[in-house]
Amino acid sequence: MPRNARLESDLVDERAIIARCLAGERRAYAVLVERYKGLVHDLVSRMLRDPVEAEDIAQDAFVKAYLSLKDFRGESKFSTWVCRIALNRCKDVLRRQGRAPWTRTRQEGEGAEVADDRETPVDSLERSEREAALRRALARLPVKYREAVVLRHIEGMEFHEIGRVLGIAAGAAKVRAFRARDMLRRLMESEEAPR
Amino acid sequence: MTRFEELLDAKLAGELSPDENREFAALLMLDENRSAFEAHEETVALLEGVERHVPSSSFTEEVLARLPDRRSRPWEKAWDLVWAPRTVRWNFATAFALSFVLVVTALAWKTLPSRMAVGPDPRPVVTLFRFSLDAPGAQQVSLAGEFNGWRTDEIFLADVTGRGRFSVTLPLKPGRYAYMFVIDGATWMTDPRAEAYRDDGFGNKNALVNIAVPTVGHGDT
Repeated sequence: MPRNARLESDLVDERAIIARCLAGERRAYAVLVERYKGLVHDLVSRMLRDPVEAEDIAQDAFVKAYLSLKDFRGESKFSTWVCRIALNRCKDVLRRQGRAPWTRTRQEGEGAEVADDRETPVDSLERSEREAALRRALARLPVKYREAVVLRHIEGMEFHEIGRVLGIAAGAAKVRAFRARDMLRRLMESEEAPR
Repeated sequence: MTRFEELLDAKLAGELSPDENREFAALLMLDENRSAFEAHEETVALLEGVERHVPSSSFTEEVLARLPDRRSRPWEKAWDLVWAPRTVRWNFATAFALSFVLVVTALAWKTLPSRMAVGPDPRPVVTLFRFSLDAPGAQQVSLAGEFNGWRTDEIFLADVTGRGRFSVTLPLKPGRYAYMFVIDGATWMTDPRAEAYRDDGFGNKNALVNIAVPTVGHGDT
């Protein structure tokens, strides 16, 4: 099936699911949560430090989206809408806590244990070190660049969708993702440089 | 963004045309450009390869448990009690008893000395509300809102004067409805003359119309 046709059918399908939710059928909402929980949870986890808090905020985003369903016009995908709600919740949390960039999390250690069978132990160590450095660099990016690069390269969104999520033009989203990659590279290089 | 940066971005997305590919290859002759391209390519590969954070297995159930019950309000329960279809079991004895009650009631009604004058039927009422928008240059304007499930292909406004003043009149039951105009099937527009607005979750506003229980008359926007 062509991608556009699939997207169109997803939208129609979503409209029907939302109509059932609005009619009071709460179980219908489970379909939408199942479909997008991976996306929203991963996005929130990239923005916040604490995995327990990330899970809570991701759930909260779905609850808030449900409560506002009657205002969802269906001109964009439900995922775009719920991602925007989730990111706004993340910003609220970060603003409230005045959070400093984090340096090391539990996942970094966990990531180091995952290895490809074909990798030598040295390769595996290098890869996990690079990934850990990337996570630290991501966490040090200003929020507006972090959200753009995460949506583009980790969540795989198109620029027009990112624009809608962030409330900016698609061109501006592209510039932010580009600048974010530049910043990431510099941050990772500065970490590698001998002190 | 510079031309090189634009081409670099398109290259990473695999969207370069053959001509652009040649242009990009020429720009890569510069060491500075080549190292920038390699750095971006490596960063994208790293980003795309990161392990995803997986939600807990109880994520969906926990979300559902946190949802309020939309139909739990007492008046909605009463509404369901009255209007929900149900199966009625019957037999001849019940039917006979019911017929007897009806006949007795009808006779009693007929023999009453005088019946009080009855006012107008309390039938469900609607208000005719006119939605209008000045959209000179628009080919087509439709109306989408809570009253039609936000469908954009159902209610079309007419430009009867041919001067870009589009309007449509709808019968609406009492209630508060969010709505938007859709111009040429693509551009969503908030009614600039709405009586109230509500955030749509995307930083824009849905227009609101409040239909009161009518006495006599028409609404308008």
